[in-house]
Amino acid sequence: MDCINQYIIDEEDIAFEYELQRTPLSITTWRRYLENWESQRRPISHLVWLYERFCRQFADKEDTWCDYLRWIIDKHQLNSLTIYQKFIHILEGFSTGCEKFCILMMEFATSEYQLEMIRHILDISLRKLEVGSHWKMWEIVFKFLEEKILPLTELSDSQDEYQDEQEQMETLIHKSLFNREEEQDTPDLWSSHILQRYIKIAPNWNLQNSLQKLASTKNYKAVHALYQRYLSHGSELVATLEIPFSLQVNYLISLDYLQMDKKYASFLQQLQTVFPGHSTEFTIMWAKHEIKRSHFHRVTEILENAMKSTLDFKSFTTIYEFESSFEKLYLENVIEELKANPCLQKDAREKFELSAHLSHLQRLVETHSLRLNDLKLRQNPNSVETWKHRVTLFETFKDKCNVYAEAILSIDPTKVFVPGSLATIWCEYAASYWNAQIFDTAREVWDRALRVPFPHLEDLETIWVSWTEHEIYETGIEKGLQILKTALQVPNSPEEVLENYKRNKKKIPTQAIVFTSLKLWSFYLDLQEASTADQIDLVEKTSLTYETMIHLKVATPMHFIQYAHFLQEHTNDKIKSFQIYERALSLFPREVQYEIWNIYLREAINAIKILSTESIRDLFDQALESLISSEIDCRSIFILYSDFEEKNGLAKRSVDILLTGCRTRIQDSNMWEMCVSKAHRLLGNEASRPYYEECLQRISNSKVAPQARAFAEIETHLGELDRAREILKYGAQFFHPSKNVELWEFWEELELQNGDKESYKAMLKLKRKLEGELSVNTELESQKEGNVQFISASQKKAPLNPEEIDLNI
Amino acid sequence: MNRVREDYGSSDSESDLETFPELPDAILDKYHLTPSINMNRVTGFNSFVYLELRLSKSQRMNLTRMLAHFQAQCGNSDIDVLKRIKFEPLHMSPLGSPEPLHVSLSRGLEFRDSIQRDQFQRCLSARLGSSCLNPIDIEFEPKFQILDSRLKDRVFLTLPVLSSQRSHWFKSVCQVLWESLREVWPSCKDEEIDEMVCSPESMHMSIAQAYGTTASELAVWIQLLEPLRPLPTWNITHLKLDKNRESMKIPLVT
Repeated sequence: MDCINQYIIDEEDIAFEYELQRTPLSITTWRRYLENWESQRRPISHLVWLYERFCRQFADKEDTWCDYLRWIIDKHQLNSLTIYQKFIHILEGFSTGCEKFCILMMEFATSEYQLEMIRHILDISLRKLEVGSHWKMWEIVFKFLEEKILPLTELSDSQDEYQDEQEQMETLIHKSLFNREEEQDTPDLWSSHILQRYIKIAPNWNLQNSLQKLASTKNYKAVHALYQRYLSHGSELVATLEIPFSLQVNYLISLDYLQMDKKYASFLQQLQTVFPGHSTEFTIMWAKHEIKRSHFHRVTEILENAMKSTLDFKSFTTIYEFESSFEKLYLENVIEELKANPCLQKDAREKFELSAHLSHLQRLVETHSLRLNDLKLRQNPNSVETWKHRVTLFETFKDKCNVYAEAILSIDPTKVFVPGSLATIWCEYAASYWNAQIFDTAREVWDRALRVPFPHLEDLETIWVSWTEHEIYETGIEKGLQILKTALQVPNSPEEVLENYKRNKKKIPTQAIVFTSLKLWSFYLDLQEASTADQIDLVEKTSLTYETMIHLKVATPMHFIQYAHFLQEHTNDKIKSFQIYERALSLFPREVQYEIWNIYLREAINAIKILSTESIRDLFDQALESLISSEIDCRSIFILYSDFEEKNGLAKRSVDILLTGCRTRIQDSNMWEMCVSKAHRLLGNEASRPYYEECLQRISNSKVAPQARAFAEIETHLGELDRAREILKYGAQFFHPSKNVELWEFWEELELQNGDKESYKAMLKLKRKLEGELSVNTELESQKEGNVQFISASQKKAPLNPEEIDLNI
Repeated sequence: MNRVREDYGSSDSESDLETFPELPDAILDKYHLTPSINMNRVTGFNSFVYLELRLSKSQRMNLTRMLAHFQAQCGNSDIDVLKRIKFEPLHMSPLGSPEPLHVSLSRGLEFRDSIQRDQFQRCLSARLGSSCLNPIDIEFEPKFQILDSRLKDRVFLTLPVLSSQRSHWFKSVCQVLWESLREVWPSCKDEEIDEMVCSPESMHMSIAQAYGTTASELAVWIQLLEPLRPLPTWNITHLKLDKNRESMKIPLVT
């Protein structure tokens, strides 16, 4: 009663108490009573006393307890432990049907970060609730773990607390060198235990996720045990594509933490095989693992092996940089420590193997290019350029030769796709010996090179040329000729060989068709012409070479021309040389014939003592006949022919030849100009009239004006002023007078000297008329669709923003 | 390295010698034969077993001197055939590249297919390995011998292998070769196998060739001439066998 007296203090309270005695199950009365006390701002202890009475009255009503719990939490006047203690008993008191209350309790506990409470509530809830509702509790706990707890563990992960990899390595090396006790991260045992409990009952779909979360707790003992139990039927894990990659990495880390080093190495190697794309990642992990164990030799071994086998640039760079960084940090760490701690200096050099690490670091820096070259060769052992670059990385003759030899033995000739490139390796190799005066070995290299089954003729050409050039320099032209003669030995039936080669290109070695090499034949010819053999011998041998080339169909038009010139120079037999041109004309297409004719005809008209005029005429006619029908531009031949006839004194024929040329090239104004001016010069004013008339009709309108003026001038000289005016009128009509100034000036001069007032007026009238008719409104023209519109530079552009301020800074 | 050492003997120090690496055997073996450009040849799986001598520079010089001396002796002779004959050395190509010399142990062998050829190679290797044939320094009789080519289009100037070696070591090698051939051609008659193996009694090394004459024309006169010394010699540690265009080594002792 004393207790009640503490809380029942006024009339209103007594009235409520009486009412509750009459209707103890009236929720409304209880609520009104509570609201009354709240409005009176009664102390929390009073409210709690009343609320508890209310709840106990409805002890089985979960909702009432839930409301009470919510109310008391919202009040923020009791500490969490008090609330927990009040309500945990109530929860324990529930027999069943307390799901909402359990959830509310758990939410309260998680919001308060009370790990012990959470575990206790979870225990009670799992006991009280139906199995089907357990997931609701786990869901809250998991949410709490994911959002609140596990991130804390992850933050404490030693791998993340460092700003960067460099700093992490530095600490790792330092710990390993000077602090043998390895500091292990403290595992989050609470989360781990919760997760272990869950994993036992976790459905399959959530098992891997839960195992992943377990790893986040850093309880690697549990990770090792549970991963084995749930992923590998209790035995050691074997790397496989069927288990998620991240879980296998977790397992690997657990082996590292548990110091199961042999299993670690074995499992890591399995992972490298199963996940080759992550090989570099694992190499770095392994190296760090060995650093932790202070197995520094092993670190170098692992990284070197990985670098020697990697096939991609990114991995190479990662490993190289890691290794360099490791060596640098190792040395820095040791040196810093020795400075700080002089007592360590005794035997430090041997103990920390400073010289070995220093020289390894130096070697790493020095061999970077070579290692990169190794990588490129692993990627493509048939890359000639890479091998050639490798040669430049070595200093001594011996080393360079070894690289050449290695390249030759490694490259598959059929897999080199740049014609002639593989041969350059052989030639450089031979040249190395040659330059060292080891001639026999150099020759042996070239000789062996010629036995390589190259797929491209260019390679064999390069080798023969290289050998020949070196021999010429050292032994003389005769030796060069001997080599090329050997190279160019023609088989008994060359056509058959060529046909066979083309038909079975892959099966017949390129050696079979060296005799068709234009490059070698040209070189051979050059040498032959440069050799000091006597004149008769020279002509005989060189002619034979040209003839062989012609027979083999390897001679180009230039060879024919050279052959003809050679004969002219050395035999003075022009007819024989002209015969060479004739043979060339029968072998090459019209376009090439045109070029040959040009040379041939020029030389023919200079050989007038040997060839008759009629013969030369025949040649010109023959050339024009064959070329014009193929629509070849024969302008130069017409001009040459015309000049030739002019020299022969046949003026009319000379002009007519040009006229024929003009007719074949109807609108060529230059040709017409040449024709009419020649007609005027050679035939005189009157005779040139028909040429001018035809010229004005045939040339394009844009070119008419100057010809019209020239024609009018002739007519003026002949006194035919009306004709002159008509011609000028014709020439004036195509241009605006401002663009045809010369013609109008001439006409004005003509009228001033020869005309009268009427004719002058007529001229001016025509001029004005044409000025009016032919004026062009450029502005309108530019605005027409498709034309470029120009804007006057002086036109000021209106600003787009009217409020823009034009600052003149 | 010995070859190089001999070739560049004027350099005394080891470091000088180091600077002149010789052409590796691997390259010489890999590109041993020029690709065949004979269009009408029926392609098969041919092979050939022989001993190969890659001469050092000094050995080449000695051989060149020996041939020059021989040629001079021929030129000074009263016999027309000898006067006009011109021998071309076989240890140098016409373009001046060093060429290996060889002692033929077999005739050209034409196998049915690559499997049979490879089987022969395996068989020969195994038999040589178990034959207890030791490496020897091959030596030659101090006399010339003239032999016709198979096609009788030229003659070869040869040095016969030392008689004692022919009758012992070479006889054993030929026996091993014969047995290996017998193994891959079990149905062949003995005479046919005999045809494939060179007779130990006629083992020789060709050193020069000449066109336009026959052995019978020269045989008698040649006997009177004696080779200039030193005669070539070298240590045999392996036989050689042509396979495709490569020359394979078959070691004597495995």
